[in-house]
Amino acid sequence: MYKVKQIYNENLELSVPTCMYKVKPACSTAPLQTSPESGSGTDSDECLQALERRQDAILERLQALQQDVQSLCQSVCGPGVDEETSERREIIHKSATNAMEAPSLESILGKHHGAVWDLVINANPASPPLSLLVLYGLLKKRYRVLGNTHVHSSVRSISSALRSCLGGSMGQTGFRQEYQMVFTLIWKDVAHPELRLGATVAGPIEGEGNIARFLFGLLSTCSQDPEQATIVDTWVDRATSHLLAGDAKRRAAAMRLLAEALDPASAMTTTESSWLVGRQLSVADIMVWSALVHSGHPLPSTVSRWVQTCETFPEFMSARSIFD
Amino acid sequence: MADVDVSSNAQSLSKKAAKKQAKEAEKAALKAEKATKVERVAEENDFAKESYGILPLIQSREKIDRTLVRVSELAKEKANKVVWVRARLHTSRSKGKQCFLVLRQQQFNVQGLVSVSATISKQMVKFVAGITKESIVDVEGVVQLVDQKIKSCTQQDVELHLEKVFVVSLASPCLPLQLDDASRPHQEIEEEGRVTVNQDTKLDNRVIDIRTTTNQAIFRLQAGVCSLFRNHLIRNGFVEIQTPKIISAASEGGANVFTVSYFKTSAYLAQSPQLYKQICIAGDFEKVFCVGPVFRAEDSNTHRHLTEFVGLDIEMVFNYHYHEVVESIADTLVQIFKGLRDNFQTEIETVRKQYPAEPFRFLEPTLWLEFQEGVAILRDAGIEMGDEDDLSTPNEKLLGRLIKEKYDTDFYILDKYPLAVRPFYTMPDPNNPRTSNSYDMFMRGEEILSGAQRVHDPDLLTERARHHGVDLEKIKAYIDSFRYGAPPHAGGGIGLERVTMLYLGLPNIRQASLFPRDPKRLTP
Repeated sequence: MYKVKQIYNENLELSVPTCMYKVKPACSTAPLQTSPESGSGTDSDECLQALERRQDAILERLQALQQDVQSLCQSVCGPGVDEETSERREIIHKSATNAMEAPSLESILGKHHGAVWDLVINANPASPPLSLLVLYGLLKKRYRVLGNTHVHSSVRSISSALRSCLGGSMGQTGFRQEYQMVFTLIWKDVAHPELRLGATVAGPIEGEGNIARFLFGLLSTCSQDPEQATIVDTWVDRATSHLLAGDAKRRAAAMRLLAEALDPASAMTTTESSWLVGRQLSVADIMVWSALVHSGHPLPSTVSRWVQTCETFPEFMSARSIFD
Repeated sequence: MADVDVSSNAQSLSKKAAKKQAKEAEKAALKAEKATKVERVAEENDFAKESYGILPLIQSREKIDRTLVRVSELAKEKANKVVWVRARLHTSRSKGKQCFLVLRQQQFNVQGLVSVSATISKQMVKFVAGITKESIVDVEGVVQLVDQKIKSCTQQDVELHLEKVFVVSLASPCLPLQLDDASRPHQEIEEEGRVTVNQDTKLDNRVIDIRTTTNQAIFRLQAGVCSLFRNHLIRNGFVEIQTPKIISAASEGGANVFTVSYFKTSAYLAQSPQLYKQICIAGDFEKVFCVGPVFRAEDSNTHRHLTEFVGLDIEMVFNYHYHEVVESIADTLVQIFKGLRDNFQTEIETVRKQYPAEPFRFLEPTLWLEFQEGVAILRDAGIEMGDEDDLSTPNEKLLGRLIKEKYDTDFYILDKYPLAVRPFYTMPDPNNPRTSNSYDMFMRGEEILSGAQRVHDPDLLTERARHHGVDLEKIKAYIDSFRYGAPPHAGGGIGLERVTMLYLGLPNIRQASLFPRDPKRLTP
């Protein structure tokens, strides 16, 4: 059908002559009531009003609470500061002062409601990620960690060394609540090792290097300055892409760089320590060591000396024994 | 009025009408002549009369020394050999002088061909084309290699050129359902708008429905579950016991039990072999298991409830901690899954063609979480529940999905359930009075096993029963069985049909039971 444009405006102001008497409108413009009786009409009106009043009361109380919280915030953190930003400032403040304490697990792994944090790592038994085993050993020193190994149904057979590499056996629950963290290693038919944090986190962290960086982050704060942090990152990347997965040319190039970096006489070493970067063990050392052991190629003398030094430490020793 | 018409018709049989009648009579006579002529011709020229026909009823009249070759063995190795095969006629298609047929034997089928030749007559081809579907036939033929693989049969490299076809058992011409329709995958039905068979029709005509390759595979796998269960437990020193199913008092609770009339009184059908397993334990058998029917009169018409199912129950003593039993039960189930994975892969693939589902994944050793951790995982996902609430079915399914997402396993254990939601014979946790030494095991997010450490002290049992408001008179015999020295023990039971259904990912438990029983079905 065709439409007809409105001829008159609805909102016209009518000036009603006062000498006439008013009649209440017979039909109301409000939506029709469901019940035909007029009595119930007023009842539902009253219900509505009561609801509205309750809603207003609740909103008022919420407002009052919000005001209280804001004032508390201001008194604690200083004027003009929002609750969220103050938390962030604290964390930056901490890391900036080079504190040696580990960050609270809660800030990294997220809140939990009584469950223990479970880091689930899926790895292929054909190429066991040794760096993660080393990191597990280091984590055990810092936190109370329960280690569990499982074999997924996609893997038909597995060596007994790999099956019990974390030393956990069944029947250690009931005690899960006493640990701060559970390290679950699942031997599965996957292309790359992956770490799953939980269903609420976006996706898994893939790649041995990335998982190693994450786990190392749980051990200590990022107390290195940006330059050192970048060098560490470069070595981790070099370990995964060049030493492990690279072709002969790339591997040779990386090996040369490594030899230079470890050579006490060369200009590349800035400190006198036996570690790759800086004075302490960093994730670069762990990843490079893991890649070298995996590739099994002959190593130049400086590098093999460094590998032996690494293996004097118990975590490296136990990881090496599983590989052999 | 009619009378007048008839009489007038009889009288006024005009010439035209008479001529018409005469013509029709002539036609009929000609037709009859032709038919008899054809028959005579047929009989005269049928030189292959001895090579086909319907055999007289095999009443063991004589012993025929003949080797019948299995359809599964018809392969390249038998090329050019003459073989006898007994199989079912699955389909036949005639084209002039040839007739293609598919012969089926359990999960295997092969293409057969009858064509007019010096030894095979037209009448024989016609006869073969007219044999009703599903009839059992004895055929003799030559195995021939084919150039192109026959994709629609399991025996893809060969076809059988038939020389002789005899019907052993003729099937009635109108089948209540067509096998091809019954084994069609759902996707194909939707995409091509083909005919599907209602589940009720399938269950009403189970004798034909179980001939489909999918059902043959499902029930062979189910038999495998049962035998893997038995073999594993026997290897570990368990003794199989048989428990009575007609009992005098309801074992689990009065509501869901069937009553039978027992001479002058009435008795009940056992809801679980619980009581008798425990008496055997107190009777020094130490490790027992039993496989037998379980009857639950639950009026629930869901996809996972039957009123009668097969229960695989385990009960064993332990030394100091009930976790020894949980490890043993979980190990049994994992060995069953491994056995199915390694030995029944063809069956799993066959079922997956009609009912596509993800392959079943599990971890070894089994993932073992505490109830509180499960609740915490659910709370993280936004579900609100109290600490002592039992898991509702949707929550169980959600927890199953979350755990699958995180650990990639379809099978896990939840330990330490709250005491309030478990039956009265569950042993409370000494360290925490609100929890109990009880556990549930889940497959694909659905519960398959409920077990616990049992109370083996008569006084504690009486107190727990009183707390749950159970009538002590009714369970007097049960409590007395613990008065003469009972060892600490625990156990649990699984349902065979439910395990099969969840392992294969079937949509309905009735597909995992040969002759299912539910509140609406009592036959076949």
